[in-house]
Amino acid sequence: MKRIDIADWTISQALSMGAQAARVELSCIDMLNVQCDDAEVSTLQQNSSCALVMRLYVDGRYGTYSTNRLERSEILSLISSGIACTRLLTPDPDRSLPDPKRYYQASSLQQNRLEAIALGNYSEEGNDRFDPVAMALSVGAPILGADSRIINVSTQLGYRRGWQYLADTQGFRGLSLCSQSYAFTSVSLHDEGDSRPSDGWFDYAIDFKGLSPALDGLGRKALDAALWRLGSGAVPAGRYTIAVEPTCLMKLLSPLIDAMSDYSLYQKRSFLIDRLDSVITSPILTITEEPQHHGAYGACLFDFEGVRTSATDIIRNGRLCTYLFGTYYSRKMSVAPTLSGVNVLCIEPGTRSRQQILDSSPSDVILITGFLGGNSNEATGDFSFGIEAQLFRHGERIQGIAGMNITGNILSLWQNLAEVANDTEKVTDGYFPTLFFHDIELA
Amino acid sequence: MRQFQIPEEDLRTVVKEGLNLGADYVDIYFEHSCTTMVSLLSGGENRASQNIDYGAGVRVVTGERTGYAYTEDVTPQSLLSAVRQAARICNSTHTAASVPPVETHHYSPDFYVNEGLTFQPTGDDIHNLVDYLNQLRDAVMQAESRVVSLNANIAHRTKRFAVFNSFGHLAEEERPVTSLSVSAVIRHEGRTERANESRSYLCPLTMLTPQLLDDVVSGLVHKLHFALTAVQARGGEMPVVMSSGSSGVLLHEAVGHAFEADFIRRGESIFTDSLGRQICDPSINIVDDGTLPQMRGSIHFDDEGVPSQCTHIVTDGRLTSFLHDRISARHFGIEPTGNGRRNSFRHIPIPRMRNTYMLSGPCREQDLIADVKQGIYVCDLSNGQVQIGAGDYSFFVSSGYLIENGRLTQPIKDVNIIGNGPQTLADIRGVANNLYIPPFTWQCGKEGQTCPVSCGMPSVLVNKLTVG
Repeated sequence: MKRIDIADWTISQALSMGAQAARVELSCIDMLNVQCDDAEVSTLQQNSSCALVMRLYVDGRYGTYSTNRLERSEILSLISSGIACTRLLTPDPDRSLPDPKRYYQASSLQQNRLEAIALGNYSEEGNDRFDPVAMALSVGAPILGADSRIINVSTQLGYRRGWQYLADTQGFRGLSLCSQSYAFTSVSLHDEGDSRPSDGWFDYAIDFKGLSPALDGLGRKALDAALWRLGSGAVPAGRYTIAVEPTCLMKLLSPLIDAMSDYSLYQKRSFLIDRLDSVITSPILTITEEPQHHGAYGACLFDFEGVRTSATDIIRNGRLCTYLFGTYYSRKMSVAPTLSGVNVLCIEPGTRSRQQILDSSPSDVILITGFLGGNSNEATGDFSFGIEAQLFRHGERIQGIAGMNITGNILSLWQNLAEVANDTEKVTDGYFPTLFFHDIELA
Repeated sequence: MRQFQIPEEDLRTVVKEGLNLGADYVDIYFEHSCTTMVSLLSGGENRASQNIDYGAGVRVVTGERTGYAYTEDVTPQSLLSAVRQAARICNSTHTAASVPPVETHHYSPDFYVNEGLTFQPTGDDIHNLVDYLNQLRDAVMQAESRVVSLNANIAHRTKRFAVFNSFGHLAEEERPVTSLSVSAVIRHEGRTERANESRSYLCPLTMLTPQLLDDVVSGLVHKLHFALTAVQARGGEMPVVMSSGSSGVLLHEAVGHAFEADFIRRGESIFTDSLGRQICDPSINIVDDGTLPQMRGSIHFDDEGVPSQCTHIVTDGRLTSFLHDRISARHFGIEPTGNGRRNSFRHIPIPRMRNTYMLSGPCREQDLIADVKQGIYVCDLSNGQVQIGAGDYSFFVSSGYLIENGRLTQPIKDVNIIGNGPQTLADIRGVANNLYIPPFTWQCGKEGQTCPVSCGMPSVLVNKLTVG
């Protein structure tokens, strides 16, 4: 953290060299990664790195310049060329720093640091007292030789731990902290012919201490997931009830979120143009953005501009409550700024468990556990996604499914949301339960 | 080592330290890059960005184990510290290891255009790029007045890099890549559609000629018109004709990755036991070629210092080679094929494709189409994904046509094709004589690393694929 004076110095140099405003981000990160294949360590990687990003506002123009060379002479050279280059752009009066009234404010950086730690996504404890190689080897060990069809058990285990300091010429100073320890195990199996399906399991925590309890069953979960791949095949094409696991739900949410973004709206490529305050999904869907949700991976006190974050309804009972307008596009489109993006999405859970819903379903249910390729047309919402799935009948898992797509229009899909389970899971993008959709085309 | 100012004796000292600590092999990868981008929106707004990246990575290999550490402070002391960190992978130490004197390897081929290259574009360059993008926007708006928004970008990157290894070999070079991409939204009679077009070559900014601009504009406008008339096709199992050119991405994803030898070494690829086998029709030949002038995947040498080559993967339908880095090559007791590539000095090199394509066959495309009673003709594919072990893949068809009674009829879009890589290869029943390798901005992702590639295909007829 001694390096934050570089960012403050960069700000003052940018002003003295001709910029009228500037924002600087300085970030540093330590990382370690161990990979084990079967009972052997195959790679060990440990590094630290830093980077400086300058956003320069020069004579009504805007440019971004970044480097990992933090010697003052290198930074001066980049500021100089950056200002010269920015001056050659077309003036854009909408480019400016945000309204300072919207900034996150702490009485001091120390207070900021305490509030950042209180978000629960950073561990002050180091990982030094743990042996990551032994931890990685321990994950796969219980399943080695557990099934004669196992070809390879591979585990990646490591951590990333870092901070970012944000400063601008309006006096904003802010610090973000993040640490994540993770373990991922994948298992490859022999199947019919040459086929070698694989699958895995992932877990993470803010440090090795938090991760350790999850390591015990991780290998077994990875093997179980891979075993369900064996003999996977297609089911007859048609319209089905589908359920989507929390871990892969973002594939269906992203097209909606992208269509709410200021850039898509400004570029007139959003299928949600003119839909604000109207019902766009099933009324049982409520999504909120909760950027200060304790323990969430993306939790933050302020966004990339320094604007303080707060809980916001995105969709409530199916109604679109907000578009995502950052400072720049809000000025461009003459609307009030809202959110510059989403960090922690939370879907309001239902009342029944996933299994209860599966048990009571009168028809077959396709539980989607992953997606394979595909795309969504951001202008129309038409989509087609390859799926990795399992067929459930009367609550029982019948077979693995591969080689099939779900297809349709993303708004129609969300209008067909039939039930939300109560099994909320913490995932990278927020907190999601299993969702059930009726009448979805499977081909 | 003129670019990184590390004395040759210091290079040898660092490598020797790794060997003394128990390594069988050590290499140091130095990189200094500058990436510049200028963007334009249809309202005339533009922005510039520039990123400087500088550092060195040290790799220590012992048996099948790899230790890796990098530093952003490129000094002999930091490199020594990095090699000691990387050497924590070693179980035992050696003594009195020796490193041969530095032998600089020069590569005579010239697959890039370096004339007129500037490492860090200046204000004048930026001014010219803004002008070029403005001309591009004006040309699009003039050609198609229904365009309601547009976004155009020029990206330029120059990478200086060097590799030194414990054989004493030193290779260094400067590699440019320039890309132009544009996307636009068109609105007509209540319908909104989007299309994009791109070009990318291993060239400096001088590639941005008026002819290139015309080419990109006409390509974009054609795609916009196509999108306005296309409909979502009905799904089902049917024969599919893949058009020449961008169908190469199917080859790259659906089978190319499964030829990468790290997957073979770990037994994870569906082709693990297939070397020497007849895997498809004898009319099919597939290569991974790092020697095509100016194509994005071309390299003089790979990121392990191995000279580039054209690797024949499938010859007359028989699987003849995998794509190797030094580690997999050593595992199998063969020579590396120059496929050891990495995202940056922060990453370990792994086997990656370069320019991957199928050679032309004996058929004519119109005969392949005429052979289909009910099926689809695929023009553009995107968003592909594959399971290396099972071979299953899925691709999004962003444009194509229905084939009805041997003729192209209704334009289609926004459907997926799903299949199994080896099965699809085996199901090809005709290869046309029209190989095309499009100069698009392909970027391949694997294990968190990206690298520039190209791919291509002649038109082929596949007996049966799932469309949906």
